[in-house]
Amino acid sequence: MISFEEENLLVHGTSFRTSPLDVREALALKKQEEDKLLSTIKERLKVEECVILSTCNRVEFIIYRTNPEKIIDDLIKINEERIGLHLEKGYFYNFLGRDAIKHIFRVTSSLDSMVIGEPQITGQVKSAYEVSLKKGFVGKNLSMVFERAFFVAKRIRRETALGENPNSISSQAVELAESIFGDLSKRKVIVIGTGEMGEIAIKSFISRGISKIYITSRTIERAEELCSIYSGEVIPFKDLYRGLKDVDIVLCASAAPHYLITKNDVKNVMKKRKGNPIFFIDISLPRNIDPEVGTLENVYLYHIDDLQRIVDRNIKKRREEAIKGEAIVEEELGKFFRRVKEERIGPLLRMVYETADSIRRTELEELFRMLGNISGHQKRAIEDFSVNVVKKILHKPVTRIKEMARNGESSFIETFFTIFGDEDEIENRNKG
Amino acid sequence: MKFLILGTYSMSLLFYLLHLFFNLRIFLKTGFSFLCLGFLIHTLKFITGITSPSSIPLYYMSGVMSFFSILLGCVFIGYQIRGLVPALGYITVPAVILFYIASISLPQRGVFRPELNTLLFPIHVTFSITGYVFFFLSFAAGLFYLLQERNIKLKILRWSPKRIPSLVELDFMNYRTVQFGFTFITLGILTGSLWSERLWGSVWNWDPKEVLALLVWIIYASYLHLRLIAGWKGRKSAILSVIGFILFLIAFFGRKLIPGGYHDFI
Repeated sequence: MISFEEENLLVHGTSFRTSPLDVREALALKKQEEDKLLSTIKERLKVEECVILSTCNRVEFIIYRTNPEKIIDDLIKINEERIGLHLEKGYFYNFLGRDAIKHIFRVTSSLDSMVIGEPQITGQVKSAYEVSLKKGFVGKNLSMVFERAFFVAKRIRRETALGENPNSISSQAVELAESIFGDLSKRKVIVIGTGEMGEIAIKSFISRGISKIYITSRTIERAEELCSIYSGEVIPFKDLYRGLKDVDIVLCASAAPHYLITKNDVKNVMKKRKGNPIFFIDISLPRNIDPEVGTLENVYLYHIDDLQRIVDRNIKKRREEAIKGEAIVEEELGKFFRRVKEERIGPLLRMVYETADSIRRTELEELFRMLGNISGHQKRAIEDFSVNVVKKILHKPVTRIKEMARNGESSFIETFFTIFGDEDEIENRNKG
Repeated sequence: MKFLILGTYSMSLLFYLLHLFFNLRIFLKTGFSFLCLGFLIHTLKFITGITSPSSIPLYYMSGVMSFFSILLGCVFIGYQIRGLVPALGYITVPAVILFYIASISLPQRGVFRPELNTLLFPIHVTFSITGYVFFFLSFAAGLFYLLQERNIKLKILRWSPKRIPSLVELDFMNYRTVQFGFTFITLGILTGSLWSERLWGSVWNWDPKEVLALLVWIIYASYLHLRLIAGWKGRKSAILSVIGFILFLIAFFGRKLIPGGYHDFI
């Protein structure tokens, strides 16, 4: 029986909106702490169900218990003991009931993220939920909320373009590479220079399964170091042009004061490439690739400024899509509560059906005894008839009562059950 | 029946357009289902219409159009089942409809010429039409390539790679369809000249249609040649395939404007 009461739900948490980074870092949950913290909360605070979500941008406790607002101070205390730091009350936000559900829907759908629409958060919520589920800290109430939240996140991802436009320079560069080459798993990239931006881009390409990474730099030690981390291959700087013949993507993150690659260089290289396209990404300042390179056929050149402009536009688009996402959240909240109300009467309806069915069966046996010898075919016909009569008589009142439950007309529901619900009363009526 | 087929195809187009604007998978699936349904009804009607030699649709312009529409639907359905470039439907489905409309608005039967009724003739038509269907697909891929390439060069990114295939994929599809198209069209020309030789005693008559077909053939032959020898890939290839198909359209429809010639029945 679903007994979900919205006022029993609490989200107590802190995020990039309410607390500084060092506080969130201290609060972040380590893997080995999960069990202990969940047990402490359950036992000390008499919590029925609990999920702890911990990411680099937020730490949240999602709790189901009666009068959850009473344990907020204790939760802060438990966390203070855990990390050995004083925690301001103002670092935390608390959502109860409908607001809590809305917050969970929004977080799971990445509407509350620092980078709106970033895809990781849904997975993070899922794994936090699964950890609690596996260890028995999730029951039917939180599972109902979370399962719905995952559905909402999926719906928003499907129906809006929230996650479609890349929001960082490196992911935009990767997406452009995919617009040119499609699947990157057979493609090779050469990285010139070993700066921080270059390393971020390397990671993005690896995450899309790029087949080979060459790294070249004037300082060979740093290149070797990067190669050992990302299993790449060092190319001596003087062999750069030979390298250009075979790679598909050139990522220039160097800091040379002049152009490292000129139009003429690329023109010569293109003759040997048999018309295969090449994609240059110049994220160095000042430019290290001559902008004229981009005018050559089958050559695509993007400078960091181009990428930044696209990313800015994407972020604007994402905000527009977020508005659609919020509307979906509202719609789903409404549906969620209607379902809760409808399901609350489920067990009672089952009781009504069971009572009616047991009467039907008793009466049927009586009838068969009275009729004596009748064929199996006739018996089946009579039985079907009885089933249909019961179904049809109950159909309309049950449909109506479900509607009333959805609309929250509780007084009618009670009337319904005083008429149909009480087993003894029905039996008495029958005898009468 | 006409309106049933037209209606089903139009529903398909409607859903492909909805997919273009709203990008929901369900639209694509529905559009594709309607296309398959339209294709089935259309094919059934086409086949059941054949009751005597003079009712073979391939002998008349309307039937050839109808056949083109069917084959285009068939090849595109094959491509989409293999998961390739559903976005091509935005161009292909309208073409299926246009050719169907052309087929029903033309006179259904012309004068039946019994001398056409040989086995070689339907083979010649089937090869040629199949070739042109592939050329249409290479035209569509080429067009997408040119648009997408222009967007990337000008740094206006309109389509994410999830919606439109990548340049390399489009280029490959452009190439593959030209290969297929070229093979079929060559077979079409060969069977055509064989048949012409039997009928008129010469393999080549310098008929306007023959000359235009030869021109189309030369364009695609140079496409393949330049690609293999000179590394013409991407933009140049795409432009050639677009020109090739436009020339075909002129050969197919504009030919009617030039009077005379042997090939005046179709």
